[in-house]
Amino acid sequence: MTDRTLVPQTAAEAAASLQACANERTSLAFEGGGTHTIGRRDRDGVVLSTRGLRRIVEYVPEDQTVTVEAGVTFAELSRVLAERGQRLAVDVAEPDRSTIGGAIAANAFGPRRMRFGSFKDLILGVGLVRADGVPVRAGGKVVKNVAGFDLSKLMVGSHGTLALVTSATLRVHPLPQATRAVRLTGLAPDAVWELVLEMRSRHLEPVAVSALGRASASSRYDADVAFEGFPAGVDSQTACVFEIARERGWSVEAVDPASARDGDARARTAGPLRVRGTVLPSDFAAIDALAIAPLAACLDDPSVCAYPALGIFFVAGKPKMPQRAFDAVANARACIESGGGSLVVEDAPRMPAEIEPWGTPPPSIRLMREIKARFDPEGRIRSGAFVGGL
Amino acid sequence: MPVNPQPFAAIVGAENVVGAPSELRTYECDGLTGTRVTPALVVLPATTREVSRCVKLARDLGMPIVARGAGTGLSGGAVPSAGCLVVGLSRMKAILEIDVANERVRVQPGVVNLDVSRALAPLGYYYAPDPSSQSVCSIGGNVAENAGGAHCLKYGFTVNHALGATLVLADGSVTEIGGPVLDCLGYDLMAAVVGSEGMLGIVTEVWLRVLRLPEKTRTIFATFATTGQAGDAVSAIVARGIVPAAVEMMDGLAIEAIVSATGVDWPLDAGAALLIDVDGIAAEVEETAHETIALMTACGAIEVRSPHDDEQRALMWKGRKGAFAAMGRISPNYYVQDGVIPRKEIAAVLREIAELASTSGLRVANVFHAGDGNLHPLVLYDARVAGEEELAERVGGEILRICIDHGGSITGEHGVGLDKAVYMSELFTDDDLETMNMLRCAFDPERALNPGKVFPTPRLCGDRPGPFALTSFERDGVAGRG
Ligand SMILES: Cc1cc2nc3c(=O)[nH]c(=O)nc-3n(C[C@H](O)[C@H](O)[C@H](O)COP(=O)(O)OP(=O)(O)OC[C@H]3O[C@@H](n4cnc5c(N)ncnc54)[C@H](O)[C@@H]3O)c2cc1C
Repeated sequence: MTDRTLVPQTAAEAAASLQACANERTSLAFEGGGTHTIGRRDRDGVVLSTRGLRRIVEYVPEDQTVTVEAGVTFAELSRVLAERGQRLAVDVAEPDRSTIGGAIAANAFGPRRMRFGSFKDLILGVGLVRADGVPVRAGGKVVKNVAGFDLSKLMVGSHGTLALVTSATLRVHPLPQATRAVRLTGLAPDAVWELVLEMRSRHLEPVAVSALGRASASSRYDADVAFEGFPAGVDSQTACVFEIARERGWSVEAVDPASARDGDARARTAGPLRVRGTVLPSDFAAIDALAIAPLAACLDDPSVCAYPALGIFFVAGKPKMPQRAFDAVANARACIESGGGSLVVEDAPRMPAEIEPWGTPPPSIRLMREIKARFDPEGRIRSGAFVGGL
Repeated sequence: MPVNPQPFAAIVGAENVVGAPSELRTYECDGLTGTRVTPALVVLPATTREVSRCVKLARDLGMPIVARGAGTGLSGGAVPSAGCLVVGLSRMKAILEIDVANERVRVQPGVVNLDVSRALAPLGYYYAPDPSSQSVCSIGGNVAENAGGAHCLKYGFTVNHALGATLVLADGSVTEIGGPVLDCLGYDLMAAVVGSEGMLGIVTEVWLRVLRLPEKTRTIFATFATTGQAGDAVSAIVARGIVPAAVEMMDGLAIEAIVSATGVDWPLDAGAALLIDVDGIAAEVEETAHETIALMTACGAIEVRSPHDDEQRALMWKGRKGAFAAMGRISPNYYVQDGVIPRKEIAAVLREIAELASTSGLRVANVFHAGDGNLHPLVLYDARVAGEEELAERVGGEILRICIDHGGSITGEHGVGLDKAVYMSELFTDDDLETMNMLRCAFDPERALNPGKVFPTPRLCGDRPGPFALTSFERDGVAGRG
C-alpha cells in the first residue's frame, strides 16, 4: 500500500472512502488540523483528512446548539457564533488549525473547562462512519436526550481509534457581557491550592484558574483567575480576589483577559517535550514537589501550566540531557499513577521505547479492548496507537 | 420453572432473598405500572462482592438479570424479564466517602438522591441533579437513566456529575471505570455506562461530583395568559444570555391539579406559569433576577412573585415537584410522557398537543423543563372506561411523533426502557441501533443484563452486523426482545 491522503468533501464521500479501505483491508488514520495527534503516526496506511468537511450544517442560536462537520476549525466556528453573540466554550491553543473533529477525538480543553466542562459535557450528538464504512448517527440535536446509548460521548477522547467523526452537534454558550482577569504572582504551590479553596469558600465562581510557572527549584506560580458574566458580578468577584490577596500578602494585579489566555496557550504549545498530568486536585502541591519540579529541572526553558481546580497540569521544554528527562518522566509517571492519576506524553523528540505515550492502562482495559474489537474488528484504524495498544 | 433460592441465600442470607409469589409482586413493575412481569427470584445484596457472586450464580443457571434501584423509573426499565433474577440495590445505602476539598463523594447505588445533598448540606455542598422523584429514587437508578431534573438546565445531568463507578459485569467480574481523578486513560467508559439503562453492568459504587451551594438563589413565579407567551418569555431570557438554574413551565390544567393537591395559592385562571430559579453569587443574582422579571413582563406576564423568604420558595418548588402526583386530584389515571424538542418549537408543539388532545377527547396537562425543551405531557384518562387506557397510550405515542417531527427526541430523562423501545426505530436507523448494540456486546456478549429493553428488535452479538437467528435463549422464552 502506497501512502495516500484522502480528502473527502462530504460525509458520503468519507463513508465511501472508508468502505474502499475496508474492501482493500487498508489501515488508516484520521487527521484534522494535526495539532492534537498523540503517539505513533501511522506511516504505512492511508490518511483520511477531514479538512474537506467544512460545512456548518445547522446553527440554531435560539437553542444554543450548532451542528458542524468535523473539519470546521475553531476560528471559523467562533466567527460564525460570535455574529449571534455566542461561542463554543472550549479553549484550544491553535484555533486556526484545530478542527472540531480532532478536538473531540483528542478531548481538547483549556482552563475554562472548570466552568463549562469538556467536550463530554458539550457534545449532543455525532455523525460517524464506522470502520466498515457504514455511516451512523448517535445522540441528537437537542440539549437533553437519553434515547439509546450515547456513543457521541464515547468518541470524546477516543483519539480516532473507534470511528471517523464526520459531524457533531454541540451546545454553545452566550458570549459574556463582561470579562475580568486577575493575576496573583509568585505563589508557592500550596498557596495556589489555598487560593482555589478560599475562592470557593467565598462563593466565587471563576470560569478559569490557571497557574503558570517556571517550576525551577523554587517552584513559584503566577495564578491567573478569570471571571465572566454580567458587569456587577465580575467586578465584585474581582474585588474579592484582591481582598484575598491583601489578607495574605500576595501581590495581585488586574490583567487583560486576553493576555492571560495567551500565556496559557504559549505554555501548552512549548516543546519539544510535552507532558500532561492529571491528579486529584488536592494533591497539586505534593505533585509539584515530587513530579513537576524535578521534571522541569531537567528541561531548558521549562514552562509549566496547571489548572489546579481540575487537577491537571502541563510541563513542556527542551530536555537538557534526554535520558535524564526521560527518567524524570518515568519517575513522575510512577508517582502520579500511584495516586490514581495519569501522565500522558503528548509529544517528545526521539522518545525511547520504554516511555510510551500513555502509561499504565487502567483496570478496565479489558472492556476497552472489547469495544475496540467490536468497532474495528480488523484493527485497521490507528490500531495500537492508543492506551494499552488499543 | 421455579429457582432454588438456597444457593442465593448462601450468598446474601435467607432474609435477603425474596421468592414467595406474594412478595415477588412488589418487584413486578416500576413507576410504569401498566407492564408487569413476575421475576423468578429477587436478591438484596449488601456488597459489591455479593452482587458479583449472585450474578455469577444466576448466569450459571442461565437466568437473565435485572438491576433494580428504587423502582421509580417511568419507562419500565426495571420491569423483570421472564425467569430473571432481580438484583435489588436497596440495602446498599451507604455514603462511603465525602471529600469536600476535591468536591467528590463516593456512594453506594441504593443511596437516595436527596440523601446525598442532605449529608452535604452542613458542609455547604450539594448534589446538583434533582429529579422530581429525588426524595425516593436511587443514585444507581439515576446513573442508569442519566436522570435529569429542574436544575439541570444550568448544572447538567447525571452524566455531567458521575465521574466513576464500580461495575459488576454480566459475567460477575468486577471492574472500576473512571474515578475521582479526571480523564481516566482510554475510552470514557463512564460516559457509556451513564444512561445505559442497566444493560452494561450493575453499578455498585459511584463517584459523584458535588457543588458548593450557591451563595444566593432567587425564585420567580410568573403567570401568563397562554403557554405561547410563557414560551416566548423563556426564549427572551435565554436570548439575553441569562442561564437560570431552572425554568419550569406549567399549563392551566397542571396549575389546577397542583393547587388542589398541594394548597399553593397560585391563580386558577392563568393559562400558564413559569417557575424560575436564578442562583450564583449574590452581586449577580439580584441583577439577573431583576432582568428576568423585566423580560417576563415584556412578554405579557400577568402576575410575578419573587419571594425573599426561603419557606415561600420551598413551597413553590414543592408544588412543582409534586405535579405528577397531583394529577390524581383531577383524573383517576394519567400517563406521563417524556419528549424533547428544540426550545424554539415549544409554542408550536404545545399547540399540536392541544389539538391532539381535543380530537382524542382526552385531556393533556403539561408540566415540564421548559429551559431545555423537555416536555412532560400528562395524558389524563379513566382506566375504568373501556378503551381509555389504550387511547391514552396512543395519544402518548402521537406526542412522541410530534417531538420527532420537530427535530427532537423520544425521551429526555425517563429512558427508553420497555415503553419506548418500539419508537427507537423511528428515531434511529437499523445501522445506528446496530452500532449501539456493538457497545452493549462489548460489555455483555450474552445479553444477559436487562434483556428486552431499549432495542426494538432482537440483536445478537455476532462479530459483525448481519442476519441473525434466534438463540436457544430466546426460543425458550428465557430472554426476549433486545
Ligand atoms: C413522580 C416521579 C417524578 C419523576 N421525575 C423525574 C425527573 O424529574 N427526572 C428524571 O430524570 N426522572 C424522573 N423520574 C423517573 C425516575 O425517578 C428516574 O428514572 C430515576 O433515575 C430512577 O431511579 P430508581 O432508583 O427508581 O431506578 P429503577 O426504577 O429501580 O431503575 C431504573 C433503571 O435503572 C436500572 N438500575 C437501577 N439501579 C441500577 C444499578 N445500581 N446499576 C445498574 N442499573 C441500575 C434498572 O435496571 C432500570 O433499568 C420520576 C419518577 C416519578 C415516579
